[in-house]
Amino acid sequence: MTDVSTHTPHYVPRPRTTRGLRSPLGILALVLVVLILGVAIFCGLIAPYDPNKQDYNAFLEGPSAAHWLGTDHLGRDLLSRLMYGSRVALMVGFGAVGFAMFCGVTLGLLAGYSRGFLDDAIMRVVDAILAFPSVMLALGIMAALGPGLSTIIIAIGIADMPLFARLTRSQVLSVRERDFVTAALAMGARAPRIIIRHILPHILGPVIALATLQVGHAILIEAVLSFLGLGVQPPTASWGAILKSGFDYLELAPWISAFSGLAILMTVLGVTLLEDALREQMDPKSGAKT
Amino acid sequence: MRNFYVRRVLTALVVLFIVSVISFFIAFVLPGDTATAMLGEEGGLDPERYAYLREQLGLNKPLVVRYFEWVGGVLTGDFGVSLRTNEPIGPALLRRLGPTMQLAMMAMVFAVCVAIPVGVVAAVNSRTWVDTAGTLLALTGIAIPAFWLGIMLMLFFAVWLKWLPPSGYVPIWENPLESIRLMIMPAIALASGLMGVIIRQVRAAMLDVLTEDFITAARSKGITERQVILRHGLRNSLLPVVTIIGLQMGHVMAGAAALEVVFSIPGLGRLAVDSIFFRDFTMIQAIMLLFAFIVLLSSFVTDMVYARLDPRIRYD
Amino acid sequence: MTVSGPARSPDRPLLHLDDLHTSFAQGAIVAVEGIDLRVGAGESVGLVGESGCGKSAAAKSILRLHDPRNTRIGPGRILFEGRDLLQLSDEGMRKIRGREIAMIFQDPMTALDPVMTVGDQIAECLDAHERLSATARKARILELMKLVGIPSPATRMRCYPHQFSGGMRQRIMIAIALSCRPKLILADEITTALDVTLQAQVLELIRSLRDSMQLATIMITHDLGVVAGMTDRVYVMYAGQIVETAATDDLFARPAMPYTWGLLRSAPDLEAPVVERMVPIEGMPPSLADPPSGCRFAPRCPYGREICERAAPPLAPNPVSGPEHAARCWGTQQVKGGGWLIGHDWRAPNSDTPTSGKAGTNA
Repeated sequence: MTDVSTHTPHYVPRPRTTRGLRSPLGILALVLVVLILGVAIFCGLIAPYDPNKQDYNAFLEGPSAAHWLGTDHLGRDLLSRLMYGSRVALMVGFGAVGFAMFCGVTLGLLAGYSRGFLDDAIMRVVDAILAFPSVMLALGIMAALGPGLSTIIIAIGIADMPLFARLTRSQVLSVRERDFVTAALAMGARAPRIIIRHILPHILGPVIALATLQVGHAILIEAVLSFLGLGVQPPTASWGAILKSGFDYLELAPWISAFSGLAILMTVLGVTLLEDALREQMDPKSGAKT
Repeated sequence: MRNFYVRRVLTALVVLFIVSVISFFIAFVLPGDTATAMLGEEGGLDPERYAYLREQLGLNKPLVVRYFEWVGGVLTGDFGVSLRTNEPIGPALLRRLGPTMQLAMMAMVFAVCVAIPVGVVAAVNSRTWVDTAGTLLALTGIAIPAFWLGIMLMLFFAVWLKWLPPSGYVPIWENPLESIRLMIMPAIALASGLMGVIIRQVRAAMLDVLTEDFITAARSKGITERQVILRHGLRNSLLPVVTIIGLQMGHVMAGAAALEVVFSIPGLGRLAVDSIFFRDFTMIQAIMLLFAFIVLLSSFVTDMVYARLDPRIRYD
Repeated sequence: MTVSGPARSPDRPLLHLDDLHTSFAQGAIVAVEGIDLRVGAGESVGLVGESGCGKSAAAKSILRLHDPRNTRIGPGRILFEGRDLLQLSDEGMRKIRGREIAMIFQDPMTALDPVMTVGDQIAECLDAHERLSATARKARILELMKLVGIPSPATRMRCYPHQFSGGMRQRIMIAIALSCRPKLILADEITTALDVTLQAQVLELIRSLRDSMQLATIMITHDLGVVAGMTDRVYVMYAGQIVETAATDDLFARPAMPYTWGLLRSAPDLEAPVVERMVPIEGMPPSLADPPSGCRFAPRCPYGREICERAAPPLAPNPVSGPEHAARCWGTQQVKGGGWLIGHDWRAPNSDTPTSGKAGTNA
């Protein structure tokens, strides 16, 4: 253990790193997220090759000047495929979380605002969905709906929805006891108005933080599903699917597995760091005190 | 306290009921029909065999009746028969549970052993580069795809360095050493996410605890700083960690699925993946139910353990 | 006050804070500014002031309990039996804590570890400084618990803090502090969190233990009522500085300066029948990040004159009492423009309002 106890008599206080978006980790988060977003938006312009174009002279070739990250077993340029893969990853990430957030927040508002039987019923169903590990539930739903991009989005969205419902409900319960809601009720405001004007703005912060984190989680699950062959189907360039084909040639062409996994790691790390920085920013108390 | 237990059990039963409904009906959203799946392409052409099979499988009865028959069976330990192998599902699940449990347990041990020291050191050195490094390690653990980490470990330690066998499974009672050697890489890979979660939890809890009066009071007694941090700081920070571990148990086991595929471990997750490919609906139902049951049971047990561990809860 | 001779003089105090400074946040907040405080062996000293005046910061500095990462202790010296505690290594300091100097904390509800039995918490201090056999250790714990008046200690030692009442917990804190028979006890607002009947009991316990064990104590409190009858001498602190010091009897008989008067008026249970009981001092203590340039109490002082805002007064002997009675107030010092409060009875109504006062100060 380093530094557990260092006390020299006349102290020069140690410099402290800042927290939040301006900290080193916050900056790293922003760099990663901007990089990935940029690649996803502009990959049509910056990708060196067509992701599905085969080069019959270069199968499973290592990184070179022509193919910076090498080629896969069909002679396709790995860098271009990974660049286009960012679109799939972000579509799944934002799509699934958007779906989960919409359903979850609606259910949570309904449960928290109504209380009583409806609340109980919603929350027990939410508990039940939450009881399935998200990978298993997504696997089951994928099996039921069949593979494909839209089914992946729905499957992951359903698996993530309970988290938003729970968070929203607990926030609503704490907010609705506060004075400004009581005051609005006393003024004769109707439920929808109270929810939209008074409750929603208050729960937005935590919901956005959760959504950021879950984008990363959704991308991870998509990678697992596609790796298992249950997700996005070839030839669509999805990181999980690229990783799967790379795994088949692990000894011959380890760079395929290495770079495609790295792409997933960088993206998910970016949003995870972003969530951490956002939370620090919104609630400085949650970090170090003094 | 009694009331708390009773209420807890009742809610768990309601949730378990909904879970069983979801598990059962998810198989009926599946495209295709069980009997068609069993007969395969050519069998579907023979209407007589098709009708016979439907009768055999009870597919002609209303869904609700079949649900209750299924639940009745499950309650007596009869999960039905696998459509793929025709063997009873119960024993098959039991056989597959072992490897997954072993993997999950080893992963938990790795995760806890790394995460607790890292979390403590990060909190004690809060807002220095040590803390930043700890946070980066935690978030990397959460962000890294476990199956990819497994593949990379396999590449380095099995393919290139040849220190460890690349893949396979030996039951621990047959050859404990080899069994553990085979599981080291997948367990480390599986541990990464849990490690990240625990580091964050320990760090946050320690930061809170270290500002408490009793920490200053403990220092004033003249015990060493190490004792202050471990005996008072860590002990008070560990309760939430117990909760995390309990709540994550089922998820860690499910997260093993891709790793079981990568490392050829005959576990539950791989069985689930195989069953989906073979449209083995009865098996999928049972596996989903089993996983949900494991999650519910471990969170239930966690609540009970928590109440035991925290002296404040026992008498309140 | 004159600076004392070398540390080995025969009447060397047990503890001597010599021009002690403690600052937080890179020196931006100076919580303790040049305190000079002595405690003789077996002597009981009071350190009195409103909350935020730096008295707790000073006490924590003695044991170096501040977070070293944002606290600077020094310049100054903390001489304990002639050794400067600020020069000790961490290990050297650890051996002082609990064994030589122990501390009792303000809030017994938060100062005990909730997940450790009280017996273990008492034993912890013993284990840190002494090697005892298991039986001797247990006997000592029971003896300590009996000493502070906890009934059936054999069963109670296995209980957790939440199973005790506030008063009982404070007794346990006292038992912990006494466990290694320290020479000095720092009692930081030990009665503040307790209700009135318990306050009297705990103070009585401290008094009897102190007399029987020859303990030196520093009673840190905002309540002069606690100091009366409990201490030999009193230091009054305001905004990081000592503003008045005297033998306790002398302080109550002839308090010299207006801040002390304010504390006396705001003390809840004085025997003297004051017409208006518990008159709080008006206004707030100054920010320690940016204290007033003259007398620090001047902005709140009803007796202030022009000189008070212009220059900071030194801590100088009060001419009415002996040399041991000093105050940091121009009104008590025979200098040009000062001395208008010499012999002033603090109970008398204030004819000397700030405006009229200032108008009359051109001589």
